[in-house]
Amino acid sequence: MAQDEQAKMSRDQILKEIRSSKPSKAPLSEIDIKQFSAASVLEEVFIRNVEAVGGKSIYVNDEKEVIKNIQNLFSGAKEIISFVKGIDLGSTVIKTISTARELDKLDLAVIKGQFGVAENGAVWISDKDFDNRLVPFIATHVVIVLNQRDIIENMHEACLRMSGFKEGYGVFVSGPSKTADIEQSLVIGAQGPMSVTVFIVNKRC
Amino acid sequence: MSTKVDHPQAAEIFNQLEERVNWHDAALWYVRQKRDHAASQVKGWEELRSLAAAIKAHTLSKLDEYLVQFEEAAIRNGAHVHWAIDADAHNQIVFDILRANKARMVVKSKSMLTEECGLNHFLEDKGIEVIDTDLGERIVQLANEPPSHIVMPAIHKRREEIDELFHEHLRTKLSGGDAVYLAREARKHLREKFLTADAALTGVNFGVAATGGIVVCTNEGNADMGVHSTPLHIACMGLEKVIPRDEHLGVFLRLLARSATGQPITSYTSYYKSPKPGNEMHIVIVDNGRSNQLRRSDFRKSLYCIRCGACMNTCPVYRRSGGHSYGYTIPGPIGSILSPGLDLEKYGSLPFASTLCGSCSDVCPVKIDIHSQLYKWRQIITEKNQQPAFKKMLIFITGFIFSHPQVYQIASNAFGAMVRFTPRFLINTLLITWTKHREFPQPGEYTFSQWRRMNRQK
Amino acid sequence: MTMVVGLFIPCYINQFYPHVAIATLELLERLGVEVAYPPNQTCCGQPMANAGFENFSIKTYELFIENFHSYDYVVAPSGSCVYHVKEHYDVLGRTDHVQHIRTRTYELCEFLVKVLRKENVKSEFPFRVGLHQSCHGLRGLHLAKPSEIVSDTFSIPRLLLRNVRGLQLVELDRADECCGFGGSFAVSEEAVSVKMGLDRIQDHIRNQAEVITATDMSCLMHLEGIVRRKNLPITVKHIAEILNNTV
Repeated sequence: MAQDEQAKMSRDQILKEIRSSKPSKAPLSEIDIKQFSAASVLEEVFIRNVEAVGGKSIYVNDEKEVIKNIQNLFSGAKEIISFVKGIDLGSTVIKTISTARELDKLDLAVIKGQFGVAENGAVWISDKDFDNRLVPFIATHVVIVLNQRDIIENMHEACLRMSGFKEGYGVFVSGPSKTADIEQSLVIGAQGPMSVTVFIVNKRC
Repeated sequence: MSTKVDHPQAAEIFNQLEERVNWHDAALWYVRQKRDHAASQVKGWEELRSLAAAIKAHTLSKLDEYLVQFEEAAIRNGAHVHWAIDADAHNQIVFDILRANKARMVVKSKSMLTEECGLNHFLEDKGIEVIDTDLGERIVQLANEPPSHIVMPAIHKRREEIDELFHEHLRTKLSGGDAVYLAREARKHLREKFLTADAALTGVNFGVAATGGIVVCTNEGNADMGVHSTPLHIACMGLEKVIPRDEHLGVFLRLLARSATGQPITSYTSYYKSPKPGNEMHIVIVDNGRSNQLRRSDFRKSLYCIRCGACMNTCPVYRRSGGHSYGYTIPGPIGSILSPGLDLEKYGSLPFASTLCGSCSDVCPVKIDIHSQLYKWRQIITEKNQQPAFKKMLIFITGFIFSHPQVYQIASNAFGAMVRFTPRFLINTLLITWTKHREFPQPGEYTFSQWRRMNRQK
Repeated sequence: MTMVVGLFIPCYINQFYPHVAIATLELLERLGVEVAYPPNQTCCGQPMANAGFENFSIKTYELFIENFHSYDYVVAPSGSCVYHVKEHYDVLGRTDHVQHIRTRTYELCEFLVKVLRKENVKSEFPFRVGLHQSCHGLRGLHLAKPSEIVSDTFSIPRLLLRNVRGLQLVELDRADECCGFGGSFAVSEEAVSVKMGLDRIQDHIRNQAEVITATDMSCLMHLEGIVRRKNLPITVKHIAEILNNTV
């Protein structure tokens, strides 16, 4: 119990220090996000930014077109997992417990995005969009399927929209993984996926 | 008693290789330009900065409440929360968790806090292998060097150096510094580490009080690769990283990457609330001098820092002296106002490693008045740290001369004459701190006040 | 004009660059300003204060207040001195005299444009000129929009220089990087100081400037020192001398 005692003492000491040293109350007003809104066609801005961050974006009419495009773009992919209803390319099924090494074989993961953010080409996905949190990172290529109507302008709106999400984990994905740590040369494909392709569907899917 | 950091000497050594200085300076200036471009694309950028500063000011004024709120929510989410008074406590807590879980090899994503605490060396001494998975951090880890920049840890390394490093440690072919080849090899090497690691350590960019969740921003996806491949996640968080609600997160996420690298956002902005069923998640809240800094009304705004590195990229001195010359985990302007609070003696030269140009304060996304704090630290340092007697006397004499007009007149007339009649070589020798690479100014034929007396009889 | 301006001449201009002071005086008089020069003035106290010894400069501050508080405006050909007075003299307490000085002290260019409302001072300078934007004037006194800030562009010095006949303003690669003087920094961090100065000069030379100008002679003193030592093909001239260059 000595460890718990010490833990409580540390906590109490830190909080005591803070209480005696913090500045006087600084009020905070509501954020007026309207001041940051710029009139623009959101899909165009979104597409532009997906490309700017190293991703690809493709306009399609329905799931059938998504499937056709994937078959063209990723013809060499053998291990594919799809979490999107109506896109049944999945040759792979994730068992309840898949080890990381098993998942490492994934060539392609197809995931539904909840919404996209025009100002930075990011898409929000969370636990309800996949069975295993590692999938969006360990698969060599990632495809995100997004409904055109689910594109919003900026991170103010995005954080309001995902605020208080119920799942245990979520992530904004903006393009593929990348690094510029070698003399500032941009290399697409670092520790995560080598590519991210966003399909913008103009029909609810 | 730790060795004093002698920034001027380190900077002088750095400047011996002019070509290298030019390369380093150009690399960082390029990032500054990217930041400028990104900022110009955001409507209301300056208002956004003011808003971010206001959120931080408010949060600090209720810091204890928000930390308690954060802890309670995190515990409800199924995470364990620990509190560490200082670096030693932090390291011990992390080690205890790892030991309890029999972890032998851990993967770590970028965390300046763990650098600050010296965690890697601590764990390695205890037989736990730590693999830094951010490519820049991995590079400096293999080189056995500290990072020189908080966002681009290996910015001081040339591609040829990295090529040789990888050849030695990862057995890559010599490629002349082919960035794509080297990155691909690093990916393979690190992938194997992720798949065999026992635990993942991450930092925390933001801790959201209302939800108990932590947000980690990466471009490489290495935080997520680690956390989701292993059953144990330990997140190390400076206590100033807490923010009230998700809506505030939006403000900081719009500012962070743009200020750091000119990207609109990092590739991954990961929001961790609950561990996967069966896994464990621990958050270590660290003080290590932060509550002390909170007490200092002149310097508490330095706690707003979101670790973007923009101040380093813009600082003309940092660009021409390199991160290592600051001798502290966090270099550059922000490091120079944080470190004196930890050890005034050791870091006393840092607030003087600046011309007070103010560019840092202008790029800071949370509007820290860095240049003003540098000035204020100088006043404290000259008072508290021992100054060379000669310097103190010189200043005293100067102060005396400038506050006594008659003495000033005599001195300035005499000075001019003295300089005019002293041979150049002697001037250059006596005033070598100026004249090493510069000519000393020529005094006028007369001072202005003499001229005025001669020409404007009033 | 019924107002009387107290002219403040920084210590190093008094000593090394009296022509800058003369140009400032003549320019103001030419524009119809009644200029007084308190003979007991010395220094604004910045050198000691920036070196961390502000307590040694208090008496100097007090002398400044004593010399200048009775004038309608105080004008100096130096952004950094004016910035120092406005920013740091509150350490004396906010008395009437102190507040008067802090609100009424102007750098020369801003005085011309904001108070006299003169943008064309009828001078001539047929040379290619690079404007070095001294930091304290730029970011401290808001003489122009700094490159870091996202807002509408404006520049008081450029406004004045554009109206100088024959003058060609060159565009630099880095519009407002610091020259590296920084007061005691120039000697305590000599290596970086000189490198910064050299880089500034080369930016001007690369862009074909013949003359480097600035609102601060301290920057120019440092740059000129390097130019002379390395025999570089460029000269420096304080903006007051350019603006007072009547035919």
